[in-house]
Amino acid sequence: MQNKSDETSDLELSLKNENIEISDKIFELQLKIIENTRILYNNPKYNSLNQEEFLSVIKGEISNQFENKQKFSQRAASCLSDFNSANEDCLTDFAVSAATVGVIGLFTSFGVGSLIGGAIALVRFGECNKSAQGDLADCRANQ
Amino acid sequence: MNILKTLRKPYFAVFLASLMLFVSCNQDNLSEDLEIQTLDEYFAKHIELTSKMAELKDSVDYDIIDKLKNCKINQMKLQI
Repeated sequence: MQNKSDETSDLELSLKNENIEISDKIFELQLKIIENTRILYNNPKYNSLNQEEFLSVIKGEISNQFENKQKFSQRAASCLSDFNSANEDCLTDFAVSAATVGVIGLFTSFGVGSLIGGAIALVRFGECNKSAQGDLADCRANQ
Repeated sequence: MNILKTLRKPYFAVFLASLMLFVSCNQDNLSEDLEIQTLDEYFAKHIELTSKMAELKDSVDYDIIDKLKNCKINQMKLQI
């Protein structure tokens, strides 16, 4: 059976052969996300859960934490506060997508599939953030 | 040399071997390498990592995603 470091170097080699340039930082951060997920799964409270159940626990926690944060942060109505709120929604979606990649990476293996998932999540976050910035510019122009 | 006589007794050797077996493998040693965390700790670390990743949003585009998808298809073809 291949270990994680063999899998990672095989993956790096495949990417090099296909001339795919993925930032080392993205590669490293995705591995850390999977490792963080593994440390939580080591907790006896969760290690009997299957992939779907475990993902559901994590998604629930991320949603709850962001909802609580929004409840306690009182904002005056302004273009900037609207932008902050929209950007927070973008971050929530990204955090959930990254968590999904982490859980799938834990239960299967870290490979091209995980990188595709992470890259799609990151591109969507970028689009969501740009849209929020566009709304901010429009809002300021209309003031 | 009464002490040597005692040491040569087989039950003494069996007792020492059993003792070694129990003290060399306790629960602390077995769980030493297993790092665990709570859901709160996981969330704090996850947000730290995803925030760092979010800063790299401009380094990925659909062109890279398409290349990755082709790479995945090629890998699957090789497995067949």
